[in-house]
Amino acid sequence: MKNKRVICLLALIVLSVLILAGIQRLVLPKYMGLVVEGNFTAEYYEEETPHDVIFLGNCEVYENISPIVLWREFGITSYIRGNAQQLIAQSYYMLEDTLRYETPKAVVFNVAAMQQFDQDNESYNRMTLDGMRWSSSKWNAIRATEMEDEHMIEYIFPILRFHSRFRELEADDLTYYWRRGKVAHNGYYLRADVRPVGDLPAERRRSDYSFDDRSWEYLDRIRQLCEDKGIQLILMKAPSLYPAWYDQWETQIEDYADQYGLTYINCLEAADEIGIDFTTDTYDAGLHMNVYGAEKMSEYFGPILLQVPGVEDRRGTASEGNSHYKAGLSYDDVWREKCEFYDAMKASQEAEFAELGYIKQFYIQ
Amino acid sequence: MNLVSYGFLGFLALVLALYYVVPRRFQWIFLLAASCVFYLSGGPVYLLYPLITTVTTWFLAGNMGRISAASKAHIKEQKLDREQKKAYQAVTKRKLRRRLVLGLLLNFGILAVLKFMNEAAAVGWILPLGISYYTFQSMGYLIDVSRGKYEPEPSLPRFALFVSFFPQMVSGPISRFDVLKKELFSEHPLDGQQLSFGLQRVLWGYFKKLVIADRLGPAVSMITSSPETYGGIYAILGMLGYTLQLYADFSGCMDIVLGVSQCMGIRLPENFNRPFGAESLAELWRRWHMTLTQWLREYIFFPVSTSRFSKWLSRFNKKAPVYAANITVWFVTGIWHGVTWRFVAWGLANGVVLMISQELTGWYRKFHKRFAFADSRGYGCFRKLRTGLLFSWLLSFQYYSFGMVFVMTGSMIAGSRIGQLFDGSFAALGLTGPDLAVLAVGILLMYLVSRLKESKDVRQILAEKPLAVRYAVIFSLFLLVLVTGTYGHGYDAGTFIYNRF
Repeated sequence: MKNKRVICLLALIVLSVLILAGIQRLVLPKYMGLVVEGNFTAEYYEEETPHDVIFLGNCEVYENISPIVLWREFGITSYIRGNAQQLIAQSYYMLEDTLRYETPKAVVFNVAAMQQFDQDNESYNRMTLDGMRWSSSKWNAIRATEMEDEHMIEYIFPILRFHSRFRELEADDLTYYWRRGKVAHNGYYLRADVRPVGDLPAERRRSDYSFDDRSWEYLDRIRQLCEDKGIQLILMKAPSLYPAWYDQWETQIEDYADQYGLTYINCLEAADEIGIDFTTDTYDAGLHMNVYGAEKMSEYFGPILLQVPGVEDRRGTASEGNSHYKAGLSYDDVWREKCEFYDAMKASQEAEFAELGYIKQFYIQ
Repeated sequence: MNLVSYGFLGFLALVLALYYVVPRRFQWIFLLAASCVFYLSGGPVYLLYPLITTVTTWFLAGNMGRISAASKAHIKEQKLDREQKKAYQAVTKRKLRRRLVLGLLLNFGILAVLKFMNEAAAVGWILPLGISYYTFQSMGYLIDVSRGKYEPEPSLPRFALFVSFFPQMVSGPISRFDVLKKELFSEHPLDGQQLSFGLQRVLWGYFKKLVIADRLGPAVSMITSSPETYGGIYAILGMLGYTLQLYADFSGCMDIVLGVSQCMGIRLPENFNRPFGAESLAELWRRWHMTLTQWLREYIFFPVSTSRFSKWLSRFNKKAPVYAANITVWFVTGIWHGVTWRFVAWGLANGVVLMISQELTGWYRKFHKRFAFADSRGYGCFRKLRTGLLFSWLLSFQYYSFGMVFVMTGSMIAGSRIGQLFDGSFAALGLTGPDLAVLAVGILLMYLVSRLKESKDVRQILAEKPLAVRYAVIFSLFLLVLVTGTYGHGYDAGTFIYNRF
């Protein structure tokens, strides 16, 4: 009798957990429409082979570099661990998280994140952090960047955060209930539409151009982590015309790079050398590159990355294994699939843009 | 710490776990420590005012107790004659009264100054949580001791727990010392059913607060704060919505408070008894915020109606003392809810309506004798509906200015059109289709539970059902709160309306 009662209770507990998990999965945003960035972080864990280069940063990274071109042209294996308004502290913990799975030869960090340490929109935190696998890195990333009205428990049980979506459930919530589609190309966000640079807002003068001390602290931590693991850290500034990148900021980063012997590449200054045409290579009037700009950036970056010891042309070779990745997988096979997906999406967007003048998925009426 | 916060739920889980682990004779000490932590979570300064009230009240009550005891001993020892005894008792009474007045002035003074400065002068001073509740509770104790109803509590820590018991500190109920001390200072072994019933009640409280009250809140606030935009049928919706919100919010808060206490084996007095089942306004007020009503009756109504001033008034009219006491009680009720003319007007309007009802009692009796249908069930329903509407209308004095109440009443009667709901302005209230569906289900559930409670405690009914049924009901309620509750990011849930009083 007592056993029966215990079994009954256990069954009810299991049933409750299943129902709760089912409801949680239903109300979580699927990020398969206009906003797809919420899927970037989690897609990393689906990788089958390790990477020689890891890019870290915000939209200035994941929209401006194409890992597919780096592979196709130079045989470089790379991944972008970036997200919308990804803060420097989040980049640090993202790197820490990455190092659990692999040890790249080079890490490229986009310094635009130095200008803002605190998050100003909770949605960005959720998009960056929700997809991270649970580890001390995720915990610390949340602790370091959570906004005043955010709570750790809402990250542990996301239903507490997203329960109110029951009012706005849509077809996508059922379509992608079990599995979401792939949206990025090794972390790259592909846009094949074109919107030339127009009038940019005037630069705002600031009373203080110093970066936040906490930003410096996390840059130091990224550098230290790379040093400890024998990884070469490269600093970059993407060729985004807006928000403004001030000379005073440039000087501070240059001085830092000089002090620690780091390579720093300002792609904004090198835009002509890269061959960027702001009338055709941006999809949002100069804020971010479209696929044509990103491909030019990758062609420019490839030779620089190949100079890093250990970064090699992996074409025709097989992967080395580690505790996370299987050994002996042909890079060509793995990347062929990625290239096909990339080409198909690019062709589809190009066709749509040629026909409609916009891309339906990203069109706001 | 707010009762609707993750912090409170974590705190509660920890307190409940430890409460049954500590030796039973130390349970009350543990509760005192937990109450201090609860209050300190807002910052050390939040503990200052309750501490002043606790220490001054305990000291004065103890002093009064010693004076009374010394007086009794003196009378006994000295074998005084009747006149001497009377004179000595008068001296003692004066001494007691001086201490009582000092205690009342000090503590009501703190309450009045803090509330006035914050609400009327808007200086932004720190207003401790539940200051009105613990002040009224402590002063009730002081008055009772001065009247010799019971002996003062000799232990300061024990008295401190009476003042600061964390579940009731925020929004009441206002308890009496002689009743609460038995609950607080007895030993409470773990009782599975009490714990289960307590948790069910807490869940029900969260349901009322998060699913109904806070969902209604923004729309009601929009309607009631913009009478120039929302007249006619919207004014009716606002009036009913405000009443429903207030009830779900306050009674939900009480369910949480009483449920939490029950989990620890402590029974607190009920504050609501199906108020919308009342057939008259007077009856409704005996069922709504019952502990405050009882406090006001005992410590204001009776003393005022038997005071010298009332005796003097009775020379003009026999009922004058009752009316004077009535008006005083309703004036205090208004001020207690908020130091603004709107709350004073609301309190006095209630008093006036109750006096008119009192005057018309004879007419009602005649009416009931003459017309048989007046005793029918249908007429009973009509009286309940009428009472509810009257109560709702009177509440509009809280959110409209005095003149606007009558303007909006005219607008409700003459300007209401169903078509107003379909001209697009309803959408601006922010209530979507799913919100309305959740509200409809929520209100229906609240009504059904209220009807069931007429005969038996709903939790008792549920306890007699098979495990699968109990699970289905409780887990469904939990899911309703979890999924449809208005809490978390983007919502301003948390503060109970009655926390600010």
